[in-house]
Amino acid sequence: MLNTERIRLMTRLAAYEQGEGKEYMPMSQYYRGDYVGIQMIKTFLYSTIAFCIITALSILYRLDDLEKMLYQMDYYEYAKGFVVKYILFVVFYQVIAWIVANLRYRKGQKKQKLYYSRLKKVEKLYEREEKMLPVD
Amino acid sequence: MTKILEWREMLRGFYGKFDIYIKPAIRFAVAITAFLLINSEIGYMDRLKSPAISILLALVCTFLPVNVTAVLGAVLILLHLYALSLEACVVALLLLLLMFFMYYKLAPKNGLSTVLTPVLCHFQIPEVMPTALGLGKEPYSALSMVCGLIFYYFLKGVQANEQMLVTVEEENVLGKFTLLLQSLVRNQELYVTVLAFVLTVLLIYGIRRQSISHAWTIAICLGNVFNLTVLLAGSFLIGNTDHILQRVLGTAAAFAIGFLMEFFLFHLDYSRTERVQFEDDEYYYYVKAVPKVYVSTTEKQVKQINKRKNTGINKKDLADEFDIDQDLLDD
Repeated sequence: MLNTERIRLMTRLAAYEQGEGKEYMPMSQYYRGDYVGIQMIKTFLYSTIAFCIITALSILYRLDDLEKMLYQMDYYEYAKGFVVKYILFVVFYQVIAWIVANLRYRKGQKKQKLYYSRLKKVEKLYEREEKMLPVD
Repeated sequence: MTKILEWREMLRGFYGKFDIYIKPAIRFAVAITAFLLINSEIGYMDRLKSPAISILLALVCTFLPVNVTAVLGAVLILLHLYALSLEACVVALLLLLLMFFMYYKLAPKNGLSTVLTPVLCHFQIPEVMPTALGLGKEPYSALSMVCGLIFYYFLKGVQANEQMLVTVEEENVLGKFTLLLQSLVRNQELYVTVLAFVLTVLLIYGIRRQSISHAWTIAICLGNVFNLTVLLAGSFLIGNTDHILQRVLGTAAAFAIGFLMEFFLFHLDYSRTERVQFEDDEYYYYVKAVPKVYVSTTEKQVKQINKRKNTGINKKDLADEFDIDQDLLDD
């Protein structure tokens, strides 16, 4: 005999596991601080690579008069500007990463809570079914 | 009105029943349109230009996530540009990598909007995109649209400078990079479009989330009027008034698509059909779960039940109604 209520719950559980749960379930293995930290480190790497690409593009853009620039350039000023821009870029991304990671973690926690409460309900239904089974 | 609602119910039923075919069909349509457009617009590599290759690639995309379409499209573009000039290919590769690391590594779900934006730009109705994203997605998805816009204008720049790029004179090599990047950096039309579209996405998203009556309708109307105003003001400011009629027509299309989306998505998310499988000790379950439709009183007037009464209920109708296999009713 099929227990429709249990199937309904299990469908929800399976839909979560196979859908957005894939994103949120690994998240629940971490404390909030750890999760946010990992995301920020990842973002730091990506933003550094992105900044390198932007630099490459801007060099390509000025490639035409690069020679002239190399002679006339104040290297100290240039390096200072470069570092400041890099720091600003990375910090901007870190702030975004911090906000996004926190929001995601909060959302993930809520979903995981719901998931576990449904899991508990299914367990209870199983127990009830077992009790109702005729003894052989 | 009842007739339209009946149609909507029919479409809902149709989607629920055949979503397993409809979704791949949409993926195929998007992929084949994108690939054929790439070939017709920048088809510099003759070997890749054959429609057979486009069809084959689109078939591959049909069965894979939509981001694969974006990746294959990017590879196709790079190969074509490589055939035109190495410089164009290098710049395109750097731009793609930049987009990848700045955006897709962090929010990988919006490949479709990046592919669709240039396609819509080609058909002169890019205004549809901010409306669609504002209504159907999160506000940060606007960035995926920006990626699509940047790439579209870059390719337009490549097309415009085609002759300059194919020359092989030594002195021009350095100038080519500048030329290519200038088509982006000095493209005021791009700036205006990006600004208008991003603000429109945010505006539409902001309004539609408000708990006011007719939020979606207000969002669509205000958002598109705002979009058109910014676009036109921008066009006059930069002195480029060639595309005004297209902007107006594009906005009209955006209105149409917006209302269509409101009709299908507001309250009733038909695309949320779930197919899951799981097991317990005794059974394997292959379940298809279709979200319930919140039918208001007027909508309940759909008169299909009467028709059935006239003809009598048979097994097929019953099976259809419960969306189960007819064989299950045999016992």
